Amino acid sequence: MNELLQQLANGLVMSSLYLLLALGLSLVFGVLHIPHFAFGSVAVLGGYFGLVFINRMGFPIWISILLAIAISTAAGILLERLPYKNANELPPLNIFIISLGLMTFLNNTMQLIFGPDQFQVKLDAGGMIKLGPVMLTELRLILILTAISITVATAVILKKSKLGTAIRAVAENREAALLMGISIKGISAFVFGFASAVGALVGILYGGLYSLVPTRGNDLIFFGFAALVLAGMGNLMGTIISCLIIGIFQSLTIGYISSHYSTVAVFVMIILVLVFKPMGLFAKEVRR
Amino acid sequence: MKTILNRGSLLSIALVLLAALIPLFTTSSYYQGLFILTFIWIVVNQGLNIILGFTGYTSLVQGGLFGVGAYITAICATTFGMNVWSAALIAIAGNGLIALTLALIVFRTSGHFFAILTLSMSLILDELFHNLAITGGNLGISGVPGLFPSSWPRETYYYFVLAVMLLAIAFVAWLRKSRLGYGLRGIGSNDRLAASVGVPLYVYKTASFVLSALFAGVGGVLYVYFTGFVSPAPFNVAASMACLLAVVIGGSGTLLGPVLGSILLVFLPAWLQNFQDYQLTIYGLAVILIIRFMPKGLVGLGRYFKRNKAVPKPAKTGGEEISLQR
Repeated sequence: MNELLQQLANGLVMSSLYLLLALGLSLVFGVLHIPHFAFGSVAVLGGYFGLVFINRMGFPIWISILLAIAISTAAGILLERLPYKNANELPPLNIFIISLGLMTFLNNTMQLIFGPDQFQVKLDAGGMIKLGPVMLTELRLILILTAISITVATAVILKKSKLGTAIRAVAENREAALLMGISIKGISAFVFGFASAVGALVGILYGGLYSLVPTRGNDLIFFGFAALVLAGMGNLMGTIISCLIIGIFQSLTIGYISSHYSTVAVFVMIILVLVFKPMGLFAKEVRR
Repeated sequence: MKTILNRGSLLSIALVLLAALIPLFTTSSYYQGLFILTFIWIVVNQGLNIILGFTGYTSLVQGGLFGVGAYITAICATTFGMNVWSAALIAIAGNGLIALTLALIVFRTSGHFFAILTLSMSLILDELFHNLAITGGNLGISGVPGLFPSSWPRETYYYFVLAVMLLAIAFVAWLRKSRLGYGLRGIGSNDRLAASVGVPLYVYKTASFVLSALFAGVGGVLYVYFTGFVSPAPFNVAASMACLLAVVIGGSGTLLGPVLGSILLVFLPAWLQNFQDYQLTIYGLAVILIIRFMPKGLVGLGRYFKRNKAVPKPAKTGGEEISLQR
C-alpha cells in the first residue's frame, strides 16, 4: 500500500512537469494555431540558461532563475517574430515543418555549445520531506506546488483579466478581435513570451530533478503533446486530468512493469483512447 | 502544360540514363552506395507522397514502417532461415497488413492530430525495435544474406534497386491519373466536396495509407539486403521527419519532388560530413528557410520561374498550378 502511494506521488511529480509543458503548448496552439514542437527544446534551453547562471557563474538561485526566465521570454518572442512570423497565413503543414526544423536547430545548437554530457542544475533542495507514508524531496514538492500555482494563475488571468479576455478573443476569432482593437502582435508576443517563461521553469526544475541533455526536449515535447491530444485541445480542466493520468500511468508502469515500456505504454493508452474518443477525452464540441 | 510535360519527360529520361550510367563512371563503392541509398529513399518517399501529397495527411510513421519492412525481412531471412525472396514478400505483405490495422485507428483523426498520432506510432515502433527480443535490441540483427548470389557482379544490386525505383515512380505517375488518384487528390484539396461527389472517403484514405506503407516495406526490403544488417537507429522518429522534409522540400504532390528531396536527403549529409558537428544545425536552419521562402518546394520554385518567364495568362496558369499541386 505504501509503495503504491509512493508511486502515485512520483506520478504526481511527472504529471506536474507535463502539466506545465501542456499549459505552454496549449496556449500557443489554442491562440496562434502553431503546433510548437520546438517547445521542449525551448524548455531545455531555459534549463541550460539556469545551469550557466547557477553552476558556472555561481549566482544566487532566485536571481539565476529570474534571469533565465527573462532571457527565455525574450527568446520566445524572437521565435514568434522570426521563424513563426505570420504563421496563421501559412498552410498548417508548413508551420508544422518549421517547428520540426526549429527543434532540430535548437537541439543541435545546444549540443554544440554544451556538449552531449549530462548536467544537473544545482538547485540545492534535496532535503527529504515526509508526508504521511510518502517521502518526497523538497524539489519535487516545489515542482508540484509550482505547477499548481502557475496553472491556477493562468486560469485566473485567462478568465478574469482584460488581457485574458483579449487572448481568448484572438483564439476565438482573429479578425473579429482585430476589429475590436486588440493588438494581435502584442497578444502573440505575450503568449509566446509567457509560454517560454513557463518552459524555462520546466527546464530548470527538470535539470534539478534529473539532468539536462541537449536532446531531452524531444521526450518532453512528446509527453506534452500526448497530454493535449488525450485531453482534446483547448480544455484546461481536461488537460490537468490528462496530465495526471499520463504521469501516474507512467510511474505505475515504471514501478510495476518495466521502465523500458513506460513510453510505449503511455502512447498505446493514448491511441486506445483516440480510437474511442477521436477528439480526446474531454473535447467539448463534437466536430465532424 | 503540354510543354512542361514534354520537358519534364525529357528531363526524366535524361536523369534515368544518367543514373543507369553511373556505375560506369564511378567504380567507387562509396558513391554507388550513396546512389543505392538515394533510390531506396525515393521509393519510401514516393510512398509518403501518396498519403501526404495526394491525400493531404501528414503521416509521420513512414520511417517506422520502413523499419518494420527491414526488420521483418531480416528476421525471416536470418532467424527463420527463409529464402530471401519469400522473406521480402512476407515483409511487404506484413507491412500492408500492419498499415491496414493502423488505418482503423489513424483515420479517426485529421490535421495536426493525425500528425501527432502517427508520430506517437513512430515512437512506439522505435521503442519496440529497441526492446523486443526478436529484433535484437540495440545491436539489431546482422548477417542478412544478399538478394543475389555473391558471385554476381556488384552492379547487379544497383540496377535492381534502380529498376524498382523506376517502377515505383511509374506506379505513382499512373496513380495520379487513375480514378483512385483523382479521388485521393480530391480528398486532399477538399474532403467534403470529394465526399459529396461520391468519393468513398474512408476506403480511399485507407487505400492511400496502405499503399504508402507498401512502398515503405519495399524500401525496407531493399535497405536490409543492401546493408546486410538492421539496427533501430535508421528507423527512429528522426527518419520519419526526414522523409517528411524530403517530400516537402522537393515539392509534395508532385512526381519529381520526392526524387529531388531524396537526393538532398542523402547527399547533403554526406557532403556535410566534414562539418559533422554543425550538420543538424545547418539542416534545421535550411529547413526553416526553405519552407519560409519557397513553401512549395524545389518543384514549386522551378514552376515559379517558368511561369514568370512565360507569363501570357497568369490567372489561368495559376488555376492550373493548384490542380497540379493536389
